[in-house]
Amino acid sequence: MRAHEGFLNQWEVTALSLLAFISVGCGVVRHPDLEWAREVYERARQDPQVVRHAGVALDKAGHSLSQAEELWTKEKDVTEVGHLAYIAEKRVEIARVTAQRRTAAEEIQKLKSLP
Amino acid sequence: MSRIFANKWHQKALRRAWLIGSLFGLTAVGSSGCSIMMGKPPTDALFRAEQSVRAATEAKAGQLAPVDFRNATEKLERSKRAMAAKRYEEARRFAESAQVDAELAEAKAEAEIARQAAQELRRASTAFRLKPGAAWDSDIQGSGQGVNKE
Repeated sequence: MRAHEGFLNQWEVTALSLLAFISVGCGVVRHPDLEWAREVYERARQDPQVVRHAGVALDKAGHSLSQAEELWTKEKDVTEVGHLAYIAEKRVEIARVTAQRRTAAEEIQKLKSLP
Repeated sequence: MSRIFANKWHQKALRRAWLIGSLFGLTAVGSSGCSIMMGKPPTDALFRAEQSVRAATEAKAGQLAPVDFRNATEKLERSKRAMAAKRYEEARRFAESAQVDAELAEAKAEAEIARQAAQELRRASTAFRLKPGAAWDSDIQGSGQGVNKE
Protein backbone atom coordinates (compact mmCIF):
# COMPACT_ATOMS: atom_id res chain seq x y z
CA MET A 1 0.00 0.00 0.00
CA ARG A 2 1.29 3.42 -0.88
CA ALA A 3 1.34 5.68 2.13
CA HIS A 4 -0.17 8.77 0.52
CA GLU A 5 -3.27 6.84 -0.51
CA GLY A 6 -4.09 5.73 3.06
CA PHE A 7 -5.39 7.46 6.15
CA LEU A 8 -2.05 9.12 6.88
CA ASN A 9 0.66 10.14 4.50
CA GLN A 10 4.30 9.07 4.73
CA TRP A 11 5.44 12.12 6.72
CA GLU A 12 2.60 11.91 9.19
CA VAL A 13 3.35 8.25 9.84
CA THR A 14 7.05 9.03 10.40
CA ALA A 15 6.27 11.97 12.71
CA LEU A 16 3.78 9.98 14.77
CA SER A 17 6.16 7.03 15.12
CA LEU A 18 8.92 9.37 16.25
CA LEU A 19 6.61 11.03 18.79
CA ALA A 20 5.47 7.67 20.13
CA PHE A 21 9.09 6.49 20.35
CA ILE A 22 10.18 9.62 22.23
CA SER A 23 7.26 9.57 24.68
CA VAL A 24 7.66 5.86 25.43
CA GLY A 25 11.43 6.28 25.69
CA CYS A 26 11.16 9.17 28.14
CA GLY A 27 8.94 7.18 30.45
CA VAL A 28 11.17 4.13 30.40
CA VAL A 29 14.59 5.76 30.99
CA ARG A 30 15.87 4.40 34.27
CA HIS A 31 18.65 5.19 36.66
CA PRO A 32 20.17 1.95 38.00
CA ASP A 33 21.47 3.50 41.24
CA LEU A 34 18.06 5.02 41.93
CA GLU A 35 16.33 1.70 41.30
CA TRP A 36 18.77 -0.05 43.63
CA ALA A 37 18.21 2.54 46.36
CA ARG A 38 14.42 2.09 45.99
CA GLU A 39 14.81 -1.70 46.28
CA VAL A 40 17.03 -1.43 49.37
CA TYR A 41 14.58 1.01 50.98
CA GLU A 42 11.51 -1.15 50.25
CA ARG A 43 13.27 -4.19 51.72
CA ALA A 44 14.05 -2.25 54.91
CA ARG A 45 10.41 -1.13 55.14
CA GLN A 46 9.37 -4.78 55.16
CA ASP A 47 11.74 -5.51 58.06
CA PRO A 48 9.82 -5.29 61.37
CA GLN A 49 13.04 -4.78 63.37
CA VAL A 50 13.95 -1.70 61.33
CA VAL A 51 10.42 -0.29 61.37
CA ARG A 52 10.14 -0.79 65.12
CA HIS A 53 13.54 0.46 66.21
CA ALA A 54 14.64 2.92 63.52
CA GLY A 55 11.50 4.58 62.15
CA VAL A 56 13.01 8.08 62.17
CA ALA A 57 16.19 6.96 60.41
CA LEU A 58 14.11 5.12 57.83
CA ASP A 59 12.01 8.25 57.23
CA LYS A 60 15.21 10.18 56.55
CA ALA A 61 16.18 7.56 53.95
CA GLY A 62 12.72 7.83 52.40
CA HIS A 63 13.09 11.60 52.19
CA SER A 64 16.42 11.35 50.36
CA LEU A 65 14.91 8.77 48.01
CA SER A 66 11.91 11.00 47.23
CA GLN A 67 14.27 13.88 46.48
CA ALA A 68 16.23 11.68 44.06
CA GLU A 69 13.08 10.39 42.36
CA GLU A 70 11.61 13.86 42.00
CA LEU A 71 14.81 15.17 40.44
CA TRP A 72 14.95 12.20 38.09
CA THR A 73 11.36 12.78 36.95
CA LYS A 74 11.85 16.50 36.48
CA GLU A 75 15.40 16.96 35.24
CA LYS A 76 17.03 13.62 34.49
CA ASP A 77 20.23 14.92 36.10
CA VAL A 78 22.22 11.66 36.08
CA THR A 79 25.09 12.80 38.36
CA GLU A 80 22.97 14.51 41.02
CA VAL A 81 20.40 11.69 41.07
CA GLY A 82 23.23 9.15 41.44
CA HIS A 83 24.56 11.20 44.36
CA LEU A 84 21.15 11.41 46.07
CA ALA A 85 20.57 7.69 45.50
CA TYR A 86 23.89 7.00 47.26
CA ILE A 87 22.80 9.16 50.21
CA ALA A 88 19.43 7.34 50.35
CA GLU A 89 21.10 3.93 50.28
CA LYS A 90 23.51 4.88 53.07
CA ARG A 91 20.63 6.25 55.14
CA VAL A 92 18.84 2.90 54.81
CA GLU A 93 22.01 1.22 56.07
CA ILE A 94 22.14 3.67 58.99
CA ALA A 95 18.52 2.71 59.82
CA ARG A 96 19.42 -1.00 59.75
CA VAL A 97 22.47 -0.54 62.00
CA THR A 98 20.51 1.70 64.39
CA ALA A 99 17.85 -1.02 64.65
CA GLN A 100 20.57 -3.58 65.45
CA ARG A 101 21.99 -1.34 68.18
CA ARG A 102 18.58 -0.80 69.76
CA THR A 103 17.79 -4.51 69.64
CA ALA A 104 21.07 -5.17 71.47
CA ALA A 105 20.23 -2.44 73.99
CA GLU A 106 16.83 -4.01 74.56
CA GLU A 107 18.48 -7.36 75.18
CA ILE A 108 20.85 -5.76 77.69
CA GLN A 109 17.89 -4.31 79.57
CA LYS A 110 16.16 -7.69 79.65
CA LEU A 111 19.28 -9.50 80.85
CA LYS A 112 19.81 -6.92 83.58
CA SER A 113 16.25 -7.24 84.83
CA LEU A 114 16.55 -11.01 85.20
CA PRO A 115 16.16 -12.16 88.79
CA MET B 1 27.14 63.58 -1.48
CA SER B 2 25.45 64.27 1.83
CA ARG B 3 23.37 61.20 1.24
CA ILE B 4 26.49 59.06 0.85
CA PHE B 5 27.99 60.58 4.00
CA ALA B 6 24.82 59.98 5.97
CA ASN B 7 24.74 56.44 4.76
CA LYS B 8 28.36 55.85 5.80
CA TRP B 9 27.74 57.44 9.20
CA HIS B 10 24.68 55.29 9.64
CA GLN B 11 26.62 52.13 8.84
CA LYS B 12 29.38 53.02 11.32
CA ALA B 13 26.89 53.72 14.11
CA LEU B 14 25.08 50.51 13.37
CA ARG B 15 28.31 48.52 13.51
CA ARG B 16 29.30 50.17 16.79
CA ALA B 17 25.89 49.50 18.34
CA TRP B 18 26.08 45.90 17.23
CA LEU B 19 29.57 45.54 18.74
CA ILE B 20 28.50 47.05 22.07
CA GLY B 21 25.35 44.92 22.10
CA SER B 22 27.24 41.71 21.49
CA LEU B 23 29.77 42.63 24.19
CA PHE B 24 26.94 43.11 26.68
CA GLY B 25 25.36 39.86 25.59
CA LEU B 26 28.63 37.95 25.92
CA THR B 27 29.27 39.35 29.39
CA ALA B 28 25.76 38.37 30.52
CA VAL B 29 26.03 34.85 29.12
CA GLY B 30 29.56 34.43 30.49
CA SER B 31 28.72 35.54 34.02
CA SER B 32 25.54 33.47 34.21
CA GLY B 33 27.47 30.50 32.88
CA CYS B 34 30.10 30.96 35.58
CA SER B 35 27.52 31.18 38.33
CA ILE B 36 25.84 27.99 37.06
CA MET B 37 29.14 26.16 36.87
CA MET B 38 30.55 27.33 40.17
CA GLY B 39 27.49 28.00 42.33
CA LYS B 40 27.88 28.98 45.96
CA PRO B 41 30.65 27.64 48.23
CA PRO B 42 29.07 24.74 50.20
CA THR B 43 30.33 25.93 53.60
CA ASP B 44 27.32 24.49 55.50
CA ALA B 45 27.67 21.04 53.93
CA LEU B 46 31.40 21.03 54.66
CA PHE B 47 30.80 22.11 58.26
CA ARG B 48 28.24 19.33 58.77
CA ALA B 49 30.61 16.77 57.24
CA GLU B 50 33.42 17.87 59.56
CA GLN B 51 31.11 17.61 62.58
CA SER B 52 29.98 14.11 61.59
CA VAL B 53 33.56 12.93 61.07
CA ARG B 54 34.47 14.35 64.48
CA ALA B 55 31.53 12.53 66.10
CA ALA B 56 32.52 9.29 64.33
CA THR B 57 36.12 9.70 65.58
CA GLU B 58 34.85 10.11 69.14
CA ALA B 59 32.70 6.98 68.74
CA LYS B 60 35.89 5.04 67.85
CA ALA B 61 34.60 4.42 64.33
CA GLY B 62 38.22 4.39 63.10
CA GLN B 63 38.69 1.04 64.86
CA LEU B 64 35.14 -0.33 64.85
CA ALA B 65 33.98 0.65 61.34
CA PRO B 66 37.26 1.31 59.47
CA VAL B 67 35.96 1.08 55.88
CA ASP B 68 33.13 3.59 56.27
CA PHE B 69 35.27 5.83 58.44
CA ARG B 70 38.03 5.88 55.81
CA ASN B 71 35.44 6.64 53.10
CA ALA B 72 34.23 9.59 55.16
CA THR B 73 37.68 11.05 55.84
CA GLU B 74 38.84 10.64 52.25
CA LYS B 75 35.70 12.30 50.90
CA LEU B 76 36.07 15.13 53.38
CA GLU B 77 39.60 15.74 52.12
CA ARG B 78 38.44 15.64 48.49
CA SER B 79 35.66 18.06 49.34
CA LYS B 80 38.19 20.48 50.83
CA ARG B 81 40.41 20.17 47.77
CA ALA B 82 37.47 20.79 45.40
CA MET B 83 36.45 23.77 47.53
CA ALA B 84 39.96 25.25 47.28
CA ALA B 85 39.84 24.80 43.50
CA LYS B 86 36.42 26.54 43.47
CA ARG B 87 34.70 23.43 42.13
CA TYR B 88 31.76 24.00 44.45
CA GLU B 89 29.32 21.48 43.02
CA GLU B 90 31.87 18.70 43.42
CA ALA B 91 32.80 19.97 46.89
CA ARG B 92 29.14 19.85 48.00
CA ARG B 93 28.65 16.29 46.76
CA PHE B 94 31.82 15.08 48.47
CA ALA B 95 30.85 16.85 51.71
CA GLU B 96 27.33 15.34 51.71
CA SER B 97 28.69 11.86 50.98
CA ALA B 98 31.34 12.28 53.69
CA GLN B 99 28.63 13.25 56.19
CA VAL B 100 26.48 10.20 55.49
CA ASP B 101 29.53 7.87 55.49
CA ALA B 102 30.63 9.31 58.85
CA GLU B 103 27.12 8.89 60.29
CA LEU B 104 27.08 5.28 59.11
CA ALA B 105 30.54 4.67 60.60
CA GLU B 106 29.39 6.15 63.93
CA ALA B 107 26.18 4.06 63.91
CA LYS B 108 28.18 0.91 63.16
CA ALA B 109 30.65 1.64 65.95
CA GLU B 110 27.84 2.16 68.47
CA ALA B 111 26.04 -0.97 67.31
CA GLU B 112 29.25 -2.96 67.68
CA ILE B 113 29.77 -1.69 71.24
CA ALA B 114 26.16 -2.62 72.10
CA ARG B 115 26.53 -6.04 70.49
CA GLN B 116 29.71 -6.76 72.46
CA ALA B 117 28.07 -5.58 75.69
CA ALA B 118 25.02 -7.78 75.11
CA GLN B 119 27.24 -10.75 74.30
CA GLU B 120 29.29 -10.22 77.46
CA LEU B 121 26.17 -9.90 79.58
CA ARG B 122 24.66 -13.03 78.01
CA ARG B 123 27.80 -14.99 78.76
CA ALA B 124 27.91 -13.68 82.32
CA SER B 125 24.25 -14.42 82.85
CA THR B 126 24.67 -18.00 81.64
CA ALA B 127 27.68 -18.47 83.93
CA PHE B 128 25.69 -17.01 86.84
CA ARG B 129 22.79 -19.40 86.24
CA LEU B 130 25.18 -22.35 86.14
CA LYS B 131 26.51 -21.41 89.59
CA PRO B 132 23.59 -21.38 92.02
CA GLY B 133 24.04 -19.04 94.93
CA ALA B 134 26.73 -16.99 93.19
CA ALA B 135 26.63 -13.24 93.78
CA TRP B 136 25.62 -10.97 90.96
CA ASP B 137 28.86 -9.37 89.90
CA SER B 138 28.69 -5.60 89.96
CA ASP B 139 31.07 -5.49 86.97
CA ILE B 140 28.67 -7.58 84.93
CA GLN B 141 25.75 -5.42 85.98
CA GLY B 142 27.71 -2.40 84.87
CA SER B 143 28.35 -3.68 81.33
CA GLY B 144 26.14 -2.43 78.56
CA GLN B 145 25.83 1.04 80.03
CA GLY B 146 25.55 3.83 77.54
CA VAL B 147 24.19 1.69 74.70
CA ASN B 148 20.61 2.71 75.27
CA LYS B 149 20.94 6.20 73.89
CA GLU B 150 18.43 7.47 71.38
